[in-house]
Amino acid sequence: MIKLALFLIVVFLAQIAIGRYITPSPEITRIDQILQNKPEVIFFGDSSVWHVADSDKNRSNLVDLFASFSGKKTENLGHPGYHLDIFAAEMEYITRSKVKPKMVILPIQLREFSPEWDMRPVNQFEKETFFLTDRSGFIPYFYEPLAIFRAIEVNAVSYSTFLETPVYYGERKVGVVNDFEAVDKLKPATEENVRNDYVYKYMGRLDSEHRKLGSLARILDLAKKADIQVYTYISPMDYQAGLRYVGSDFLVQASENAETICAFLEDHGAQCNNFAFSLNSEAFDHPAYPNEHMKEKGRIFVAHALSGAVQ
Amino acid sequence: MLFNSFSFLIFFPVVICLYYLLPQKARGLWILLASCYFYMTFVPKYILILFFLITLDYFWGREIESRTGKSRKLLLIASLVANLGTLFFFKYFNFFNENIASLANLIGWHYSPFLLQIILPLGLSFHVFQSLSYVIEVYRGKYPAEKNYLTYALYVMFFPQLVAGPIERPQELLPQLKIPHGFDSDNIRSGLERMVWGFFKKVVIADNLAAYADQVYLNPHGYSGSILLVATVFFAFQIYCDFSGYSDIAVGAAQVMGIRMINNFNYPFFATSMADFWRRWHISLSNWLRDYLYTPLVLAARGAARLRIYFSLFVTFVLIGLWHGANWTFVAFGALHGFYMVFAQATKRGRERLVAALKITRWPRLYRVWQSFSVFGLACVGFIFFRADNVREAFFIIERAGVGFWELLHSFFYSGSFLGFINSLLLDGQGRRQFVFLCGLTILIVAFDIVGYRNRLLPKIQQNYSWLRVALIFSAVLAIMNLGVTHEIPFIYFAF
Repeated sequence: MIKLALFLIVVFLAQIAIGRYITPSPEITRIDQILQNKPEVIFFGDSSVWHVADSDKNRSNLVDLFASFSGKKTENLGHPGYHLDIFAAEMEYITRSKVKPKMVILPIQLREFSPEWDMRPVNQFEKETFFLTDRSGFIPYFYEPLAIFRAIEVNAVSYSTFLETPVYYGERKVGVVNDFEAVDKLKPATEENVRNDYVYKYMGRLDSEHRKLGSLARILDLAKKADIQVYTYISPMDYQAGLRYVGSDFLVQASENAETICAFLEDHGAQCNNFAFSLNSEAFDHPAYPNEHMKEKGRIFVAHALSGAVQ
Repeated sequence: MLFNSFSFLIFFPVVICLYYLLPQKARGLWILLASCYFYMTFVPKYILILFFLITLDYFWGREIESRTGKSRKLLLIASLVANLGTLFFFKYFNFFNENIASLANLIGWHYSPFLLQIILPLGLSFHVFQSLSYVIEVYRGKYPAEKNYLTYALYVMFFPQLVAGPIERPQELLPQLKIPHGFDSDNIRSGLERMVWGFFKKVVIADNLAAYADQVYLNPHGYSGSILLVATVFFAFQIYCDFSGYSDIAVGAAQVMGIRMINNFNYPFFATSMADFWRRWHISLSNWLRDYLYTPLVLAARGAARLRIYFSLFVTFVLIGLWHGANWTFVAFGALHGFYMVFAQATKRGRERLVAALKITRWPRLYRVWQSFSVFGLACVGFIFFRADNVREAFFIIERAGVGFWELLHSFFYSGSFLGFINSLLLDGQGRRQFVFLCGLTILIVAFDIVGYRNRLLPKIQQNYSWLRVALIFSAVLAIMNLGVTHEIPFIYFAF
């Protein structure tokens, strides 16, 4: 029994070492490094804040362009797939830190409310959220075993739930995710497939009660309490391609969704900066794949607009 | 309460500590109470069904023993009807009814089937078979009827094997439940080590492989043949590690209490024939069906000996398939294995002559490897039926995965780089590192099994290198704590 007790103590200590030194949360480490640089502005975001097209001569990403245009010391907190829910957790961590930025910039994607982004299991970032919002300081070392044996429940969405999630065209259900989910390696970019992709990613009606808008409200509230200024904007998207593939319904639905976000922001005392329809198709990369990845021209436009607004 | 849950990690040490603290006489009752609690954490009211069957079989067992003549047989039939009737009601009623409705629709008689809205009681197929084993053995006069009701109840409800086996015989388990078990630190250590190994197989290997296989099998039409093939191979190792992992935890947990149970697996992927595979895979079920179904069928059937064997083999395997679940995929799984067995029997002489003519046995090791690969390939085809949602989808996967084998070879030689080859097998949202990790796990289990199969290294390590044994257990515990998946993946055989 003594041997067993000793064995368990060694396992316990080894787990602390693993949690603390070998696999600390990369998310915490990243934000800590960013805050150590004492930035004036922290730029939240998804892959669109990092993206540079292969054909671009100017290799600066959106955040670098913004920093150079505005002259403000800016750090890029963007990560592919990130969205308002994880931004809220990041904001909570930042507001608890000793060093705080004066301003955060918060891009909002119209696509992030679609089941394609919102319900995708890999986009849930439960672990990152757990680490960022945990206040115990000790539990994270045991996050893995606790989560593996489900002492803490961290699974928001399973893959089967994702595939069964309804997809809407406005308010009309047009199928489930499984009907639209494109495995890019196999699915050719035919007109029908691209149209379906636009429906899947943009055509659902955004409800003002959406969970992510709740996260947006939380960010605004946290920032207000910590005296951090928040600048939000709705990211540009390739609306001309949407119009081309889906028709005029696309503009109607996308505008309605953008208006819902703006109304929500205004209700919470924040300004709405809607860039959703500011760029034409030439400003976007990957034409057959609906996304918000901008080429040089698009990035320069947004960076200029942002730097002008935050002065 | 799943074995791979935090609740079990609390439940088990508490049960064991009190087990050894209590006086010998009270230990059986304590384990019975613990087993009731364990079972009731799923659907509490289903314990009534369990006790209903336990009570019937207990009294009928005693009656069978005390009577002579036809009434004994009638009591046996009554027990078979009660046990199998319960199994049919909960597991097969809807399946049966839906198929009757489909048949009726075919002949133009449209009726909507009445479907029961019930959950299958956990481990029903296992404890029904274990109860039947007792009644049949008593009927055959091979084991005396149990006099103590609580001991018999514990025989059926013993929590380590209650929900997914191994299916024990009364001769093996009941006597052990009646004798006192002292505190034996060697037994406890070996039992705990076996449990750790079981957890490692389930949590680290099976659950990680499940993430890949599940994603592909949820939407098989969206993936290339080579990905379907890889997913099928991963599933084969997943189900092996999942079920044998469960069995290791069950056997280890029983051993901690001083009770020995049957080994349910014996390196099935090293089998040299399909018959050998079934002697190594889910051994307690294979033995059960051999003794209580196949042999009586061979003896009872009429006609030429060879045909009787073929018929009995095929029927037994179809029922093995159906035992797994009420779905045509499981029937197809069983029928395919039945076909394998009949084909193997029918062509045995011819194949032996061919082997002799080709002089393959000059390279016995190579021949053995070839045999094991062939058995693994055939087992994988069966696993496709086991895992697919329906039979049509299973055929689609078989067809595409067959092409996938050549795609895989082509991609390996012509993709330009090894990284390109790996990239072609990645799923949405999966990184290269993750995929390589899965391949590594598969290689690891094969390597462990080779070491165990050859049976040379393991005893040496166990006897002479205690530090190495401790290091292995220590690494396994840390791997379990850090390399598992964070979403719940129940044991596959819990569903049966």
